[in-house]
Amino acid sequence: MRKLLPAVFVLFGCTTAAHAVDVNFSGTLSTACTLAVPLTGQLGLAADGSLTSEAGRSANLTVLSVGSNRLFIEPPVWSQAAPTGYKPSGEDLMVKYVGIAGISIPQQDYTDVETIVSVNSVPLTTLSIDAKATNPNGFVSGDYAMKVTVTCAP
Amino acid sequence: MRALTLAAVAILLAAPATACQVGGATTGSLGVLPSANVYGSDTGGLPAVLTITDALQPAYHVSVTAPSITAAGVGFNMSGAVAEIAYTAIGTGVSFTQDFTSAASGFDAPAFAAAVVMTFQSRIVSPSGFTTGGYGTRVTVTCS
Repeated sequence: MRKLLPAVFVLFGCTTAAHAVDVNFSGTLSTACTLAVPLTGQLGLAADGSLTSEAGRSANLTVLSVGSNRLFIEPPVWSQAAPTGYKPSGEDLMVKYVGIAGISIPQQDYTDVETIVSVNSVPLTTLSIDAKATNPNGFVSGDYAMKVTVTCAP
Repeated sequence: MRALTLAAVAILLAAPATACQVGGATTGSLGVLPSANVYGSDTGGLPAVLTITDALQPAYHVSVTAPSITAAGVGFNMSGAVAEIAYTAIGTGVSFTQDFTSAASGFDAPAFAAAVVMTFQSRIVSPSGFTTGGYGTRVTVTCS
C-alpha cells in the first residue's frame, strides 16, 4: 500500500492546464481616395515674361488611394479677376506635375488640357504641381490667382 | 487507513493548478484608415474584450501570442506588413497596459485576481498601403 501513494500524488500534481482563446479582429476596406493640399503654390514673374509658380513656389497635393482610382487634373483657370487693364486675348493657362513621394506617377509637362492618371492602392503620394500663364500681351501690375482642380474618383 | 488519508491530502494540494479560465472573446472590428499605412481598430473600430476568471484564486500567468494577419485584400503586399496588438488588463490586483507590439507578450496575475477584463486593440501597419477587401488579425490568449 505504501508504494501506491507516490503514484497518486504525481497523477494529480501534473494536471496544470492552459486555457486558450483566440481574439480576432476583422474589417473591410472599400475603394476610397483622399486628396489634400498641404502646400499652396505661389505665382511669380519668370524671365520669359510668363506668370508661373516655377518663379514662385510649387503646390503640393497628397493622394491616398485604396483600390483603383483615377486622378483628373484640370488645366488652371483664373480664380480671381485679373487686374484692370489686363488683356486676356491670346493667353494660355497650363499645368504640369510630377510625383515626388510614394509610388511614381508619370511626369506631365505643361499642358492646357485635362489629363487623367490611374492610381491603384498607394500609400500617401505627393504630387508637385505648377501652374503657368503665358500672354503675348504681357501682364499688367496687380494680383493674379489661378487654381488647378484635381478630382479623384473610381 | 493511513495511506488513504495521505492520498486525499495530495489531491487537495494539487487541484488548484487548473483554476484559471479564459472566457470567450468578442470579435473586434478594424475601423478606418487614419493614415496611408495603418488600418486599426483604434480609429473608428471596436475593441475585442474577454474576461479571465479564476475561481480557486491561485496566481497565474497570461500569455498573448504575437499577432498575425489572418486575412488581407487581393493584391495586398505582405512584405513589410505587420500586425500589432495592444491591450489593457484590469482586475483585482491587476492593472497592466501593453502598448502596440508585434511581439508575444504577457503578464502575471497574483492570487485572488478572481476576474480580469482584457480589452484589445489591433492594427495592421503596411508600408505599401492597403488594397480593397477584407482584413483580419488574431492573437491567442492563454492562462496557465
